[in-house]
Amino acid sequence: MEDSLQALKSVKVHVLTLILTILCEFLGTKIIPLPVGAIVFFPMLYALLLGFVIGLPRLRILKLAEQEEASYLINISVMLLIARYGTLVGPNFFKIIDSGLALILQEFGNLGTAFCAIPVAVWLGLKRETVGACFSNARENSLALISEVYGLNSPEGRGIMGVYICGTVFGSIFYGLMASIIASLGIFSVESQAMAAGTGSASMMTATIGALQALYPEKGEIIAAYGAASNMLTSLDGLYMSLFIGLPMSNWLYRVCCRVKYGADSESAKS
Amino acid sequence: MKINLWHLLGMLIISAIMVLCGNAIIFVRAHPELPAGVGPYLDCFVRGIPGMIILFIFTFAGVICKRHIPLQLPAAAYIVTIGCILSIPGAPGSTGPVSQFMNDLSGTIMKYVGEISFMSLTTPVLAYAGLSLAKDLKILKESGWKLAVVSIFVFIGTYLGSIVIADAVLRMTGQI
Repeated sequence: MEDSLQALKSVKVHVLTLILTILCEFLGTKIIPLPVGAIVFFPMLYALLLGFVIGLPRLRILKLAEQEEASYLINISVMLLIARYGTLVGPNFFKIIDSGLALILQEFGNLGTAFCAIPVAVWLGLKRETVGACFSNARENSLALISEVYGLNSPEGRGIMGVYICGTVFGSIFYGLMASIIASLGIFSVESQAMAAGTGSASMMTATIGALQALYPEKGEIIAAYGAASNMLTSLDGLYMSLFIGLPMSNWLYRVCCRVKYGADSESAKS
Repeated sequence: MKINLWHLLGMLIISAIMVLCGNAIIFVRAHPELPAGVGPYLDCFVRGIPGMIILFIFTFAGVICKRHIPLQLPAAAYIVTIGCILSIPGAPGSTGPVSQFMNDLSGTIMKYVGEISFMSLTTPVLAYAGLSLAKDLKILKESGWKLAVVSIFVFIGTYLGSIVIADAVLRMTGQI
């Protein structure tokens, strides 16, 4: 209750955000064409980077408490974004139902995360950080889950915080670039790529959709609809998927990888 | 955590002002034929207000649902579901009264909400995120490059995993 009042009264944070928004929208979206696809810089990315610079401790512009208020305000402003999401999905409802099975089943693809990332993390020498970092795409709902199960100051908590921050900073660039490259391979259908765009992050989904739309302008509408729909599904099921499948599976996979790297008897010492 | 609804309204209004400013800038920049000066910006700002009120209603409905429905779902899940359901047009080809009503409702909602570009909603969110980022600098330094490398594989795994399944299912059901 007090948090919300503090955040509401945080005039300095609001004014800085308003200035950042206006400045960055005037800078506008920049598209850099590449041999494969394009890198797209959205105003939101400049806003993130400029905001980060403003917040650097040595500039002494923002106090720690004000940064906490800014992080509280993310959760509020994201509600309007999510409300608009819903209206992206609704008008295309009947189109989405037609490919419902693929959309629903691809949600299990989000579990591919653990199989791809855990072996790398263990190989690099990370310990229990591995589980927090690799059990999901590390977005807000996963952060909430880890803070409930392990606490954010635990090794698992540090793991997810690292990936969460990397995702916040580089996620949109990385997803935009990865989507362009994978699309240019020509192996997978546009529809399946659009369905994979929804990973529970607005910025990642938007960057992926943007990259796909640049490559397939004639399918722009359906790409946006599938992306928003899968993001909606992920935001609905992501937490339960992580809690009931992702997290237990990651713990198991972590034990297996440790056994391979450190030998059979070292597991008890590890955890 | 129970948020005071008046505080929520206040913070939403502040966010909305930022979004409408950004939205006006995006619109005016996309239409170079508009006359110079602040007039077109103000016009676009005002045109976005009814759509913004609709988004406010969805948001409050979602927050209130979370409070009164005994499921452990985040408010975001309700907000997105409400926005989605109300903007569904009537069943294609049907002329029944329910379909007619849904057509009118979703048409009206989309007419106003459509004035607000999706991208304009993302900029203030990430501006707030940027301003809050520096407090996590220490964690980023401590966990170092290893977690950065791992996050690349996290993103690849998440994206490719979904593509492979979606592509296989679409092929098996003959939709592509």
